[in-house]
Amino acid sequence: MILPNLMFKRSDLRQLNESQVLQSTRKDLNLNEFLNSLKAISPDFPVEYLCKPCSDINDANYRLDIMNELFLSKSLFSELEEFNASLKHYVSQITEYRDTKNEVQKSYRFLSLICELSRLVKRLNKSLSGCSSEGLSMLLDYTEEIVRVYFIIFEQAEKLEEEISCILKNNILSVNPNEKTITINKRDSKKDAMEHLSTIIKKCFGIDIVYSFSIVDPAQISVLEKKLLDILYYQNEDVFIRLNNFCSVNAELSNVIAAFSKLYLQFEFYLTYITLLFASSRGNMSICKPTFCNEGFFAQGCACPLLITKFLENKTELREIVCNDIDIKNGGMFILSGANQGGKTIYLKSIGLTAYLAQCGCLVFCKSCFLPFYDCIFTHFIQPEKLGRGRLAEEAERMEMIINSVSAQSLVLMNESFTSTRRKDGIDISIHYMQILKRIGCSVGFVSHYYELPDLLNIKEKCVESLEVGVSYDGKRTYRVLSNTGRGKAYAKDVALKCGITYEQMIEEFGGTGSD
Amino acid sequence: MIEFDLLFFEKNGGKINSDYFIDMGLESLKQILNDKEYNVFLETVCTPLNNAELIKERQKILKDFLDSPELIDCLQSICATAQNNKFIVRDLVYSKVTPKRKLIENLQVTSKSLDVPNELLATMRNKKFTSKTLLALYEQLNSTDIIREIKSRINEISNWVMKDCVSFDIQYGSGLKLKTSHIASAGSYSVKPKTGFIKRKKAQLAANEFAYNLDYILELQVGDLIERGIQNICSILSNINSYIISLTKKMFRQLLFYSAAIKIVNFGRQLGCSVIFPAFESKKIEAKSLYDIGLLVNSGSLNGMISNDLFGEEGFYLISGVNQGGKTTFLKSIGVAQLFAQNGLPVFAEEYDCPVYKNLVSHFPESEDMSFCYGRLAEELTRFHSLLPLIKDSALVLLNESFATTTEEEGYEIAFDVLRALSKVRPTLFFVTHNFRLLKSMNEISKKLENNMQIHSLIVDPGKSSTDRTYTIISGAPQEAVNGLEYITQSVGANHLNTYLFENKNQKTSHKNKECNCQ
Repeated sequence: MILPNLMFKRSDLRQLNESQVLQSTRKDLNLNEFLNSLKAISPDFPVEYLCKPCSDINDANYRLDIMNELFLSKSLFSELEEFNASLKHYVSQITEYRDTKNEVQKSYRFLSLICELSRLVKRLNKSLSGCSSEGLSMLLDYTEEIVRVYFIIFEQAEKLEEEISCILKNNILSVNPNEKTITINKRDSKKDAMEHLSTIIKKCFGIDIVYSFSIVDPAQISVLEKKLLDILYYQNEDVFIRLNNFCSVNAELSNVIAAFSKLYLQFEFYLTYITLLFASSRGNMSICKPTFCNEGFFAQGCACPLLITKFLENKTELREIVCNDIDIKNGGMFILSGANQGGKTIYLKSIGLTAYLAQCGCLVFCKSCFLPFYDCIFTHFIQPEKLGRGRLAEEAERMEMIINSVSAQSLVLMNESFTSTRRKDGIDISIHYMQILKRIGCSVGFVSHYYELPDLLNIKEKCVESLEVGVSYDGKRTYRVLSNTGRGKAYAKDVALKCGITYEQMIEEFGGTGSD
Repeated sequence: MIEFDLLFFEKNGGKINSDYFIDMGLESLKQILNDKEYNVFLETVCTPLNNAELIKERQKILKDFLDSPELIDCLQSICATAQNNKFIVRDLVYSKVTPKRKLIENLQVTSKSLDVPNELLATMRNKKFTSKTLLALYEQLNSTDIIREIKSRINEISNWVMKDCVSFDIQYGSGLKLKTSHIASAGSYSVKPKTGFIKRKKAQLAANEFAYNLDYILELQVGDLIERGIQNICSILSNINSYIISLTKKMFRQLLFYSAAIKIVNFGRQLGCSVIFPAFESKKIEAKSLYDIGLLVNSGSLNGMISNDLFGEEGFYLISGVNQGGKTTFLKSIGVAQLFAQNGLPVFAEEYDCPVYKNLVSHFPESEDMSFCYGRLAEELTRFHSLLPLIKDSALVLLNESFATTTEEEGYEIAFDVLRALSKVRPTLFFVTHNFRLLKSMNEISKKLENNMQIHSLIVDPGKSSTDRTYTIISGAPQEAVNGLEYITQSVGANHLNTYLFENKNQKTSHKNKECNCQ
């Protein structure tokens, strides 16, 4: 019985994309900020699964199927969310068990772990019934197998645990200060002093008082606990001997216990990411499962994941995020120009992050998304100047490195490249590099103020799409990415309209339709 | 259980806009209220009540306090004294005191706090209350047995822990580790206390017993258990004490509203002004001899003060007329009267009746500073837009020279849009305006309003001459000439303007003369 891995289709073939250039891609796409947002949702989020995209398309699809199934079934998601909270506790119980030295205590902890394993496996089995994704189906089979094989052991464990739990209940510890002794007795059914006091205080003032207090001792087992345990042991010797025997006989279960705990981080990956997806879809953002295809990158209504996390953090309405379409044929190129602060870089990052997340096996923030399984995503963004080196040289070096590694299946995203020289030279350099990339056949997105580039590159044949960020008639940024066509310009603006004080706006505010 | 509420704030109660209190000139109440009273009064009236029964109950409480003038002072005094019954905390020296010593101190303080309900009861005894709220409070305070029992139980439990003779109910957590405990009963006693080191053989102990003085760590752990029990009692005492302190604090605060109300009523009565509690039987605002409280407080006398009447129809009122004629004062007097009425306070009028509005809204001109970031028109329109959610829900709306920061024609267009849109949600609207284009088109606009809403005109009684001010608001057709220039040149004493006008006139005349001579 091998526990299936929810992150890789074949546990023995764990391959991640180890390309060196990925470091700068992660930095340019602000992936760390995105990961921090996920960490803020759950500090246990396993970032390693998002630090490197899958190198095998099957792994990405395997994850996507699991994530999509969890995202589409809210009841399954909630059940697994609760399950994983219990699993987290289970993981900490395992650590405690490993650190325990007292034999009776260790046996009891082992018994508790078996009982908890039984409960968790049964619970997971119930939650996963009917799941269709490969990963979850395999896990369902695994849980069925566990329940079948260990059925009798689980039953014995639960019975024994119940017996011990009765022993531990209703004990009264009486201090005799004169004799310096402590007596342990079972409590009677009458209300005790504090319970009574609490009742009358509630009746008189309506306040709930906390009359029990913590006596947790950080030690493994304190002297007092040891003394009490001794008394309980001698009073119920047969039960504790059976406990000892049970643990010796079933020691092999410790491997299953340890293996099962590994599911925690794997579930945490899916659950945390889906929590973010739910928060986004509550703000009416579209979410979809990306489909890998060889024709090109085509997405509708794509939002930048970074903007989503930032807006959620600032509690800003997500509907203010402007979504754009992506259309890059395989080996296609575009040049995006337009007003400063018009959303050019955000658009480029949307493309990069969407492709990156899809390759990590995550659902993306689009209405629909088809994209190639790029062998690598390269970014060429402006870097801070390094002392003693010219910026242009450094940019060219980086570009050269990219060209060394890039292939026809790669995606290259360039942001304001080659601006650290005279305009004419910058254009020339850009044209040359674009032509090199065109020859390689990779897909390229280039944000640049060199608006002449498409015309210059399309002289012989049309190979580059020209895009532009939209600006409204009054100069306001629309953050829409459009094909580069002429745009009207108008600056007149009605103050009342701006302030929402036209008749129609007020009627809308009042929630109805007025007369014409 | 002692539970009271003298103010009855409703969950979804009425609202006023943030500027309303200031717009109505109620800051002047600082002259007759102390700071605490003013703050609580301001905070309270900002959420007017929407339920006529609750408003009437507030009226009854106020009347009860007015009938027993010493009662509110005594209650406030007890509540204020109760605030001193606090445990000592965060004191460097005190932190070194043993838990048992702290328990003794805390018991003394809590005992004083537990006496407070009795003191309040004694003050309220033999009073005849008409309000159900005060009667219910009296009944609650009258159940003294349970407080006696609480005191006795606390003393008993404290006694056990002080002697280390106590039994604990213990709860196990996971892994055979102790988790929580609580004091259950007294511990076991032996008849004669033994002193010194007790040595015993194991055979002398029962199977369910062990000696704890043979192991130093164990003895410390038992001591720690008892100490935690003591801390738990201290924490319970602190809960009780805090509850009584917060109860009296709440009472003191709520009483401040009534003591402020009493001062306002007494102020009016001293001036010889009639004060009346509205009955909320009318569907529209009806007032006879209504005064503006803000103005009265500022002048401190009724001399020269003009009251106004309002017996009109439901709908929209446009108020127009000469500058400095009392339009804004009239608007304020209605705004204050309605605010007071919906807070269970009396109105300074001979007669006043009104419906209960959900929200009260004012839109008065802001100072220039506020418009710095916007431009004036944009500022006032943005502000007006923010009021729409309040206006749409059964509101009284008071507009003072709104939409005047643009040309008359554009102001008219905006006002026309506003009136049309407001007719959809039917607030009661009083709109002071100089926009004659709007005033002139009143009847045509009325035809375009929804829900058969009608626009009525109120004007400042013109008096005998253009500079005469009657400060009386009457029904009447809007006047085209309000003689503003004449008013300021003759009454305000604008010397530069006069000189300018004079020179300008002379120039024109000499031009005319020249032209005539040429001809």
